Amino acid sequence: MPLDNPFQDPLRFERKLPECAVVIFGANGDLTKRKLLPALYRLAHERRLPPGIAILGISRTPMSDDEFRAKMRESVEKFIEDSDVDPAIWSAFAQGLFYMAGDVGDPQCYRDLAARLQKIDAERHTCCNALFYLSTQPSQYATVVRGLGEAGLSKGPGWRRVIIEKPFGHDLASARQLSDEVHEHFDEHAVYRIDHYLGKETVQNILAFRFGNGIFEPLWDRRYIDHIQITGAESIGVEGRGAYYQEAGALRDMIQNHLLQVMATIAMEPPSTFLPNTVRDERAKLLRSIRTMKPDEVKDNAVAGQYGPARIGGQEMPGFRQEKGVAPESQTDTYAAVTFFVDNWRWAGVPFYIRSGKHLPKRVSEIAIEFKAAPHRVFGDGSGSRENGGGATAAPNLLILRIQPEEGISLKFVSKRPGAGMTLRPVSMDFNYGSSFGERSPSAYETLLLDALIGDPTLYSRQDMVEASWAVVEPIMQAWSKVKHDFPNYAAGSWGPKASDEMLARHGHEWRKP
Amino acid sequence: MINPEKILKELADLWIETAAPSGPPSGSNAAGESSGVLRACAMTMLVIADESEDPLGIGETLAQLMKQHPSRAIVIRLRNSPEPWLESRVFAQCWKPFGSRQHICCEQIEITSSDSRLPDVPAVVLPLVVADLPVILWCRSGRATELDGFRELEALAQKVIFDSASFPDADKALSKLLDASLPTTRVADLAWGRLTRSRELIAQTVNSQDLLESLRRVDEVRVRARGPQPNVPARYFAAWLADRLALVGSFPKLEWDLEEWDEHLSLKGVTLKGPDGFRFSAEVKETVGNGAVVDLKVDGRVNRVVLLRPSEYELLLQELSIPGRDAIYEAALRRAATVT
Repeated sequence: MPLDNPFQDPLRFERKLPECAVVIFGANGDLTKRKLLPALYRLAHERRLPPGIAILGISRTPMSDDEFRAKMRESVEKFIEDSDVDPAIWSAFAQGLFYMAGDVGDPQCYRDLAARLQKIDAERHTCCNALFYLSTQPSQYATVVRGLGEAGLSKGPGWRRVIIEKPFGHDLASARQLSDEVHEHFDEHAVYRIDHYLGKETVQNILAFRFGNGIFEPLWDRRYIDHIQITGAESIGVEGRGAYYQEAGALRDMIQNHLLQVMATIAMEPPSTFLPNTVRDERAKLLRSIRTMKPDEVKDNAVAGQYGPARIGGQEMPGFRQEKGVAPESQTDTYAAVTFFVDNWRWAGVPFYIRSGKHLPKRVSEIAIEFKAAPHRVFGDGSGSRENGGGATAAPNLLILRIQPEEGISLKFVSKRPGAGMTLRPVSMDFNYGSSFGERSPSAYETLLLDALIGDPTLYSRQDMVEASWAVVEPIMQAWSKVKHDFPNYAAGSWGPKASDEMLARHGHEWRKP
Repeated sequence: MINPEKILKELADLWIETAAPSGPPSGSNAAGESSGVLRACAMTMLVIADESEDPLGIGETLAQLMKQHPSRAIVIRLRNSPEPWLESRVFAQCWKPFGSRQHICCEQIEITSSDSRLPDVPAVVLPLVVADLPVILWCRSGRATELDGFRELEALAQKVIFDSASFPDADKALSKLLDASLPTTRVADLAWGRLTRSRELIAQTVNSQDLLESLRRVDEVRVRARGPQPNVPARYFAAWLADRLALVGSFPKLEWDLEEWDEHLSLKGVTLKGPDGFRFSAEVKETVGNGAVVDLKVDGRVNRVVLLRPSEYELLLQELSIPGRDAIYEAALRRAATVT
């Protein structure tokens, strides 16, 4: 039995990352430039990375190591959000940056990669540990994994892990097929399916908020909660990604992964410990408890939308069908809203409304939990007249968990307006992340990359979670594929189609306007 | 005379002034473009220091700490003077996080007290403590612990942070630390925090199964320290090694190599030996600027590292990041009081 190190002091010693190589497939792509390299640099800036770490970028474009370094520096300077690039730190970081041109469809690419990794290991002592990051087209995931496996790179003397970006398949069958292909070469414990929403501080804070406090959890069920709204709104359109987006749509691109994971975090049962699999077990259980719609239920519980042209702030905005690369008759949903129910004791009968859309009035991601009204209205019905109880308001208690921007938590309740008489007015009690901690929050990619390097998959999706969420949205996708939507049905800059408001109105609810 | 009610009123006025459109009083470029002020507080930080000590240094350390541990800071400056003296002032510490339009501000209250008036201070501090949040006492003055009124201040805190280096001798320091450690009060010593990096290096160096196996057979621990008597850091180190080795079933004898030297170091090396030829040593080769070059030798292999002396801010940050009890330190403290 291995001996524990008696000199360890986890309270005080920094959690050390093992030396390793990070191999990024798709190193010339947008994700690498905008997110991955800025996150890795930021980790280096905070001295979180081991000194010998090597980052090897792979893509088709021929480039030398130095050209790659120059290109990445440009990207980091452009996309790093809350600090500047320190020349000394960059210089040390750049020494560990390498590049290799290769075609991921060609087996020779992996033989070259194996040789290059060996050379890097000799130079930087990466201990043969390797993290492969698949930042390529989703259609290439299986090819890359097979290439790694056949070249003997999926197993080795050190650890080998693979990070796969969403989408994990485009439906349940393809998600299963992808998992099967990945599992031929990597065991599930080495597969890290990244959903960057789960790496956001505020999403992680949902766990702290729910399970670190004693006062909220007793209210967290069907007896006290009326309904829950989850919004992932973007103010921009497809921004030149029309061709890609046309194949995805809001339901696939946002709800199937990000927002269902958020819903699972909000609604899951408390895990017994904060260990990767206990947390993921609870998330998976919740996803499996979401009621699957029958085809005839889709119409009443799901709304598809597509933005049309509009004039915003004096500027003409094109509709989705006028965007570059989009078919003039496109049936892609740029907006989706769904009513979900969870079939378990805690949530029976509580609607979870989830919406996501492009070109909505503002960029906001939040969860609004609306509590049931007080059982008896001592202060009247909200008419404001003294006869009816003194000018009361019927505003419900709301708990808002803001994911972006301005991460924080607000609790809305009513309070007496100062002065004579009993006039009530809704007020807000706000917790703002920035004001309580003052320090910067790490970006989602910093958190998730660090976790993958340490080997902690808590915030990554597991195969059963991915399959459960596909199972939930698949009936909607199938039903939508059989009808011809009357698109466009909302103007860019509005809060979505009228049918979405009607969906909530049928339950006596209405969408918040964040 | 100090009236706590008056201080609270001054704090309230300060917030009104800070939130005014002209921006926070200490803000560097806030005038006229204020987007509001966020008031942040996660604890009460009580500081007791000699007035003669570098006041700017304390202020800077607190300002740095505020960013990660926003607090209401109450700084008590002790005046070693026969004339009775007690006065106070309030101000705000503000900063603007990178990329943010809002200032974040924390309150600071400064109380200057002569030694003889310290017994009056706890009653002033009690109503100033922020309700429902932890109270941390950072005692920067060994002298203060001897004064009337100190115990009452200590009793307000859930964690008391000392620096044994500010005490005249090791026995007195360790006895005070043990005395202050109660079921309701946690004790910390910045001198222990200064050893963290060295302890971490040792843990990293022996972190392989064959070396861990060798630790089971260590029969001698030799510590090279300054002074005619072992100082607190040396005693901590020896106590920690003994405690941790006991976990793997090893109970070595402890030997001291005591000598005098000029450098700021209190400890120059440590050696672990086993009967099978196992030998591990960490030895300071030279001091450089704010650090020391250390050779780590194990089974003939040498690894050279530079250990930097942590700043007071870094040491406090370390302590504030441990909200609960620190069992490893507490065990080392108990044993350090007995090793000589």
